[in-house]
Amino acid sequence: MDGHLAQKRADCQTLLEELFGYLDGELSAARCRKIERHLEACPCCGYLAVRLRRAVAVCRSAGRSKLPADVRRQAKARITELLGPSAMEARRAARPGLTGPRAVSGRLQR
Amino acid sequence: MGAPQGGQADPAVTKHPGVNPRKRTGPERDEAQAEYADLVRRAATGDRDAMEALLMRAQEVAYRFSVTVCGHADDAEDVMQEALIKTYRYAGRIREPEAFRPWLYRTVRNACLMRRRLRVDEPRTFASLDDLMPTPDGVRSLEIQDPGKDPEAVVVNRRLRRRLAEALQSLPPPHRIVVFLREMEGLSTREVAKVLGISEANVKTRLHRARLFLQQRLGDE
Repeated sequence: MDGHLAQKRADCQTLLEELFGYLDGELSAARCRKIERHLEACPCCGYLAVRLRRAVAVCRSAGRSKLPADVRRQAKARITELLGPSAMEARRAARPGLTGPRAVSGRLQR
Repeated sequence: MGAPQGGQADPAVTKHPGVNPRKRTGPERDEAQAEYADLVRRAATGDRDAMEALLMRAQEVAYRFSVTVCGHADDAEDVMQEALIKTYRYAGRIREPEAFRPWLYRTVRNACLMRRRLRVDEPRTFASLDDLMPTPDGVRSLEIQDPGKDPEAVVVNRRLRRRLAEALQSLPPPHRIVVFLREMEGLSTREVAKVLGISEANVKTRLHRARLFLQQRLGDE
């Protein structure tokens, strides 16, 4: 019985070392199948795998963030300051009284 | 460590082991790197749209790094400005466009470190991502996209991100930066190693420890 437990612990330790490679898709298909069999048979390792996978998913989900609107506006203004106005901005600036969406919609109404 | 209990599906994770829809695979990471390299090549030939896109990305990276890793939204403006100018100068004379992305993160990291060295009142704790969520009084925030429109899923995701923010605060900075670069920004292990000037094995070790820490902190919710 002790021998069985010791073997099980050794298997779990081996799995832990390879689990990250498994989660990152870095292992061969044969190795993945072996790990999956262990995860199905060992509740503790299966549980750890589920929680690790979730932690990674939460991080990746949180990483997909946009800049706040005001920060984005400032960032765009810095780019315009550095590069000068784009062709479209220059055309708009060359038409007095036609600046921005309001002017465009006014022109359409006429 | 107990066995998983039955319960509601977690919207942040897949139900099927080994099949993670949000997982960034090697080819995806290569694609992102190739996209950066393409922008650099085009910008170097005078393509204005490419240069604008590159400069915007540089500022986005600078902002996210300042807020998430350093916890100082106040520094973000200076760091963004530096990333902008350096990218503008560097993009025109880079020999290896594939090296641009690690260069950008290294530049931003150094700019953040310089800002921190200038501080005499450096706080012991770092800003929580939760503190940076949009608020009516206009506090600087990272607008994190909720992947689903199901209200329950949105609530669960917000709660998880709050826990993540707390967990990231508790991580030592060397581990936090690896989580940020590898998991949140999608850099490859090799790129992270280049950014930080450490071995790939060291990146993996830090990442594994950080993941074990994070899964404990995020709990079973």
